[in-house]
Amino acid sequence: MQTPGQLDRRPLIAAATLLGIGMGGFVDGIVFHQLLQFHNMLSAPGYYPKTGVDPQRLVVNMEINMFWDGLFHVLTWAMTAAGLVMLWRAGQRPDVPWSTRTMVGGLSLGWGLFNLIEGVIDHHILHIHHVTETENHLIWDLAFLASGVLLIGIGWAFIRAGSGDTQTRGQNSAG
Amino acid sequence: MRPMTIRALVVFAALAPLALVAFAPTASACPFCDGGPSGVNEVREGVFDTNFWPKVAATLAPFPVLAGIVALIYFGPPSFGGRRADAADVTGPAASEPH
Repeated sequence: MQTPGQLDRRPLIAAATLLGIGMGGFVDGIVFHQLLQFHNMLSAPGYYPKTGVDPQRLVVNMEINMFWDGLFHVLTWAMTAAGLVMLWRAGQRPDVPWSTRTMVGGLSLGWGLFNLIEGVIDHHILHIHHVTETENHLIWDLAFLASGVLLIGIGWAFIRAGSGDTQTRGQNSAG
Repeated sequence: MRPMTIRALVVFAALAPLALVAFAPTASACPFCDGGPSGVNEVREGVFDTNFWPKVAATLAPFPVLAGIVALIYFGPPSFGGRRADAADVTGPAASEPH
């Protein structure tokens, strides 16, 4: 039962964070995997390298990594879709303030969390790929983590700034 | 449309690509991968090898952690995102509802 006068930004923050995670994953996939072609999902040495192999093996390795990149994009798509559903439901609630600052903060928080969590797990723990598959990849990997921390900080600041926003848009009955 | 139906549709749409991958010929547009010296589709053999499931787990690994963080935000302490607003503070459609 809703407490009169109680506002709750958690549904909006959660939805925006999930959207930020999904779209941050798309930024990684589109910019680093496809446009700059710095790395693929399994491009680390010992998996499916693109250097030091004959042309036919190169094509096979690139095609194999295209599959794993695709699976990664399935997950980022699912995150984005789930975030959209959560955002829609949050907008229908009368106790969720429709705060732009909170929304922007959540998006940044989500993107930063993606960079930080994916960076730590994939680049530093599992070593399935690095930001660049070069000898100096550590600098790039650390810069990637730093970008995550920065985005998390920016997101947190916006979410805090939005704590005073009280404009709602939801009705008591779903519509 | 009922929420459960919507939820089911979203899950289906998210998982359908995986089903397509399982049954569709992988790398069918790759001119070098079907046949060759070994006579097999090397891309399909390379994807669906004995390490397939460990590689799936590695690809999936960050996402349960990220989803868990979002769940912590959604179900976590009200102090994270909630505040008590006076009736005069609330504007928008909810403001017109009787208290």
